[in-house]
Amino acid sequence: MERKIRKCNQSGFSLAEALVGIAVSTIVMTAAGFIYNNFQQTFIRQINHNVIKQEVRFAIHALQLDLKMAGYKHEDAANGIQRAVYLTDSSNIEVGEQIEADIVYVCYDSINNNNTSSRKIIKYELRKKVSSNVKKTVLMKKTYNTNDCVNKSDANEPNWEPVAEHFKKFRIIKTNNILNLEIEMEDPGEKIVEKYNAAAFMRNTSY
Amino acid sequence: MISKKHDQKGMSVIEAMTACCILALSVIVFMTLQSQQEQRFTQLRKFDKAAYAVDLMFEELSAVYNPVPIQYGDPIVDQNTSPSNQLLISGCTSLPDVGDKFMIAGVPGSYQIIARTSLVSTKTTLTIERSDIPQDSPNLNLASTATANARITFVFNSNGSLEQYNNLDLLKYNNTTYQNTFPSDVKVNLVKWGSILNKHLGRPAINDKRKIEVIDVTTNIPIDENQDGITDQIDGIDQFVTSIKTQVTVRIKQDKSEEIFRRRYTNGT
Repeated sequence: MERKIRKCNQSGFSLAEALVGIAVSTIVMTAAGFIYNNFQQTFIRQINHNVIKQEVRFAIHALQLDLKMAGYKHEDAANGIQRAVYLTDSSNIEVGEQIEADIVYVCYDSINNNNTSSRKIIKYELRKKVSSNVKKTVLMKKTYNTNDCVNKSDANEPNWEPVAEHFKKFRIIKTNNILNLEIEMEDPGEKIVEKYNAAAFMRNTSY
Repeated sequence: MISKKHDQKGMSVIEAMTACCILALSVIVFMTLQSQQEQRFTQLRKFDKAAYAVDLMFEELSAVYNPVPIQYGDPIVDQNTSPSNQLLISGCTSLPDVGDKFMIAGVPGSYQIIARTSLVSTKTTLTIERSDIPQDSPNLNLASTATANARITFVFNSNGSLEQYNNLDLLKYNNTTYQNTFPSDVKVNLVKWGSILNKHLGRPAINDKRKIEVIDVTTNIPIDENQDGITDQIDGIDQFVTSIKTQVTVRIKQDKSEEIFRRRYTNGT
């Protein structure tokens, strides 16, 4: 009788119940945390992937726009195009057909707003984001004025214009009048590396 | 009995197992969703890169595409010929290619080169068959006698045509027997494009597809010279101008996803 009263007066969990409860809730919380973390990681990767997709799309678009025009001579231009495309390695030594190059120069006549034409050399190169960086991750572009596509006619060195970032690798290979681009992009979280291949057919050059 | 029930504390085994099952089910559901999302993301990444690879193929096909026929000098029929499948021509500065099509002044129809001999003193003997009648026609020989000195006009440049890429199966890029059924430049592109797609999409499954199809698309465009919004007519018949474009389709099927990429080519593009 005395025992029964003691039992009825009991309130809350026993130690064993509390321990089991804590263990179960720990497992549940761990599983939930794991699932949440996975979802979060996937979400972040998708955002980062979108970032590199956007960057590479713009870079390829910009590159193709210039590379496809290589060798174009405006009908009013007095001089011929002496060198439509020029490829070098990172030490600025010229590379030939079907060899990987790091830097590309293309030359063509562009039309100004007042319908006159001017001849430009466009240079693309992978450079460091800031001088203290170790890796070259930014595709940059420099535009020179020229008369013959070989010598630059600018009084001062033009500034670099950033085109796109998150690059890991940028190589150009020339085969006849095709320029093949090999690009590797790395996401801001440095977890995804994507490889892209693209090409530009230089319609204004004949081989 | 009743008091025994009241004394009961905590969960029964069945309750605990039910709770565990519900928990396990929800974990499985979440994990499945997560895995599916991951697979879709991977597929998306693959197709995104494949799209650039296909664009590369279209660009390289632009370099191949040259529908303007080459005349190879000033070719003429070398001597009177009776209807046959061989024709000796002279006046060539270079050797016409197999697959090129031409017309002969005074002879009906157009003809395709099936084979040719080496060029000797501007002369070559062509093995030909008619290209303007169905392939299963009983007689594909010269339609009538070709007269000596009759002018030959080339109307189709096989090297600049994309027809040679029709039905190119990029899954067989490393199959030597398949490669050797194509001319050398098509073979080079087959190997290059096939390996690029393989790099981006991975090894193909049994029912996967990576194929190029080339067709000519004919469009009749109404003529409206006076810009009145009404098609011009001659003798009550609507007038049209026919535009022929070469359409290249690249089909990529990977697991359950299929993507179709298309580009049209016309002279001067």
